[in-house]
This record gives sequence, structure tokens and C-alpha cells, in this order.
Amino acid sequence: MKVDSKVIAIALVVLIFGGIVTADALGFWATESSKIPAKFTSGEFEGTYNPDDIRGSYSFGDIENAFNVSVETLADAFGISNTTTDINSFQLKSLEEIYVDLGDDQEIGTGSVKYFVALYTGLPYTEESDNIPLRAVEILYEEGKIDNEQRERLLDIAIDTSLYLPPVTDNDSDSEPPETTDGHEAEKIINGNTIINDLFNYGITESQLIEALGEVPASKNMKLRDFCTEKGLSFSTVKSKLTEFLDKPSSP
Amino acid sequence: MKKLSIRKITQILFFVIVLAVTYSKNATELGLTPIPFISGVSLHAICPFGGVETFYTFITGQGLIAKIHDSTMVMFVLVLASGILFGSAFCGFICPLGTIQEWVGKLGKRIFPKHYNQIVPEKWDKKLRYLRYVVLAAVIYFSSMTFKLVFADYDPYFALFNFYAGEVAVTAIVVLAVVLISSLIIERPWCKYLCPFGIIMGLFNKIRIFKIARNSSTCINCKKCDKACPMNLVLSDKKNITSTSCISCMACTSDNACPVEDTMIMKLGGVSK
Repeated sequence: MKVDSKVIAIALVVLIFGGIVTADALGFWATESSKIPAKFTSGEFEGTYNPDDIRGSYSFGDIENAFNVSVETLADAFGISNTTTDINSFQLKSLEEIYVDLGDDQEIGTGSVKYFVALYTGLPYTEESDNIPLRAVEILYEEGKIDNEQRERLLDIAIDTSLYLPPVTDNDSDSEPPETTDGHEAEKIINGNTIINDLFNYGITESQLIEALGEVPASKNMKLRDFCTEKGLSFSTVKSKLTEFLDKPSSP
Repeated sequence: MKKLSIRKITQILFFVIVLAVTYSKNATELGLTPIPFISGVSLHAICPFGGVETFYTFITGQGLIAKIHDSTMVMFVLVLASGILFGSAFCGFICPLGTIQEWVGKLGKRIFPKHYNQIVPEKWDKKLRYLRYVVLAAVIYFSSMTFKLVFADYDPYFALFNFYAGEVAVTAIVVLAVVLISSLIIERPWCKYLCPFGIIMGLFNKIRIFKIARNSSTCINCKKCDKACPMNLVLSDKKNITSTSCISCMACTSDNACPVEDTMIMKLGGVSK
């Protein structure tokens, strides 16, 4: 039996699309994960969801469903404001974007949530080298999930995430810079999430931008880090230069 | 105008489908307008190679690695089934990364008509093809150990369809650029020397039900099949084409390069040795 290109092409199309339709009809065609972590298959915790299998695509709501850790607790622990963010659908992978500027050896991300959930629920977790927010340690201690010895150990890897939260969290880049209760402007922080427009809001002038970046970026909504990457500039050098400008007293 | 072959039509069909699906997915995340009626699923959800990356964790009961879904496993099984039937026909008829290398290669043929696909010395060519096994072993090992799609950071296929979405690692874009530039002078360089999925599909060439076979009693030994092979295989002294490098593109067959009818054909069982 001879087979030519036409037969192969038709057979492949029928096989692929027919297979997809059949798999869909049988309930096998799932293009997204179920957001349900794997369970421990043996040992003391057999049948319990494994925090090690928490994925970046999971939301705080998914974590609450699987591990019974409330979204409010998670949001509080990881510095996510429930006034500006839908904390129930907040995806863990967004943490890495928010805390992008922690430094080379530090990271707050999905691994941190895994570790927090494991400590909160008392479940085993293999990777204990992840950083964890300082507030998360406080919550664990306040709620009696860890003892003083564990707290001391966790404080060594804890990061005060409040120092790294982005200055603009409500996507309203045209809004005035937030003010503190005593009427002074809130701290002007430059990090990976800072957009060009934030710099203008902080009082950086066009000539200062040209000095630091070589030009005024055309898109005011572009992230500073993305601009640096695009132009091959060192983000840390640019950040230092801009911070220098911010630290200088403004001209009258 | 030259009529498009059925193989090229199939390649375009799958290229456009993957492009549309990934665009729809990225458009949703970038705030652009997705294509109506096309649900935006990730490239990982429809790429059969994900089945290889998660194979170890799957068979050891650890589940699927991050970003791999049930649909990935369905695609993996379907493509393996195509391998049992036609060997590496997936590479020659479907794989969009192979397709774009062919398209760039067409330009290369015009720019370097004498040197195109003849630049790598045979000695090196043979050794370099073993790199595919190295890449495959590395991908399976690191994916299984980390439970992550480690290869995505180097994957030119992922870069090709997602480069505008901001989620692609610079390394993957560099690999893609190197592959496309190399395609100007080497036919399907990724497939020949580095593709970890190609080697798996290529292994099916040894056991496929429908084999490409040469009828030595009618063969006039003109070696046109050798010249037509994009993978630089010597076919004119073989009975059955079982090389792991064959992409089953059918360029060598009597429907294309071979001038003698029914001499180089794909047939059930091939020819007996």
C-alpha cells in the first residue's frame, strides 16, 4: 500500500483535530491547570494537598480553597492591598513582578507562598531557602503557627516588603503622588515597576531624564526597567542617578 | 505561479493556527483585541514537546510540571501516534519552527545558491547531530528536577510565537535569531543539530508502519533523492529510510525528486531487506 503526501497531510490533520475533538468529548482536553495541587501520596500527610505543588498561576483564592488559608491573611502577609487589588484572583506569579527589585539573591514569589502556606498549615515543604516577607513571619508568630526559635530563624531570611511596594498600585498614573498624614509627599521609590510617568510625578525633569537615560522615553507608561533593558542600560546605574536627583533639594 | 504542494499548505495551516492561538492568548494579557472565536490558550498547552518535558514526572506519579496541561499530553499522544504511522512526518508537515526555517531557507537559496546547505563538512555534520541527544537529555533532566519548563528560556519555538509578549527570555530570542540566521545557509539547522523533539520523532522512523523505501530494482542511481534531501541524508544506497534525521518531507520520493515512478515511495512495511 503506497502513501503519498496528500494521504499523509489528510491523515495528520484528521488525527490531530479528530484527536482533539475526541479528547474534548471525553473530558481530557484541558488547556489550563485545575488549580488544585497534587496531594501527598504517602506518609503522615497522605491525601493532603502538597504546598510544594502550588503554581505561579494559582490565585490567593485557589490557595484558600486548597489549604484553608484565607485570602485576607495571604494578602496581609504578602503586602497586597485589598483596596486596590482583587485579592481573591491575585495570581502568585504577580508577586515576582511587584518585588522585582529585591536584589540578586532575594526573591519574594511563588516559592515564598509555598513556604508560608507550609508553615501556616504545618505541612512539610522541601525548599526552605525561599525568602519570606517580614509581615508573614509576624502573622505566623501572632497566630501561634511558629515558635520563637522558628521565628528567629525566619527573621534571618525575612524581607521587609513594605520598602519595595510600588508607588502606584491603582493603575492611575495621572493621579497626584500620595501624601502622608502630615501633608508631606509619600516616599518616592524607584524600582522595577516604576513607570516613566511616575518619575515626572516625583519631580524629575526632562533634562534630568536625558542625563540619566540619554533621552526622554516616548511612552510615558513604559516601565523604567523595560526601557533600560530595551536600550541596553544598566538599571541599577540609572536608578542610582535618578535617586541622586530625587535626593537633591528641589530648586525654588 | 508555482502551485503550493499539499505539504506546504499543511505547514501554513498549522503555522497560522499556532500564530492565531498564541496571539489571542497574548492579546488578552496585553490588552489588545483577541481574535474572535479563538480561545487564547498558551503555547505550552498545545505543544506536544511538553509531554516529553514532563514525561518523567508524569510516569513517576508526581503529576505534570508547571505550565503543562492535560491538553499538552493529548497533543503528545496524538503526535506519537502519527510517529507510529508515518515516522517524523510531524517535523516535515506540521512543526511551525521547521516551517519558518524552510521559509528563511528559500531566501538563503537565492542569496547563496552554490553554498546553501553544503557548508558544514560531513565529518562535523555527523558529530553535531548527536547534540540533539544531549539537548534532549538535559531538557528531561532539568525539567524533572526543577518541576519547571526550564527549556522555555532557550526554546526558539516559544520565542517565535511570543517574542512580542514580554515573557520570553533573552536567551530564547538569541537562540531563535541564531537559528533563523543559520537557516540562510543551512537547511533546517535547528532540526539537524539541536531539536530534542526531532530526535524522538526520528526514532519512530525505525519502527513506523509506513516506511519510505527505495526499490533498488528500478532505481537508476541518479542520486536525485540525495540532492533533494533537506537533511543531507544519503538515500541512494538504502532500502528503507530509517535515519533519525529524516523529517519525512517526501522531497526524495517519486512524487517529487525521484524521476522513476514507484521507486522511492512511502509504503506499508517498506521493503524487505
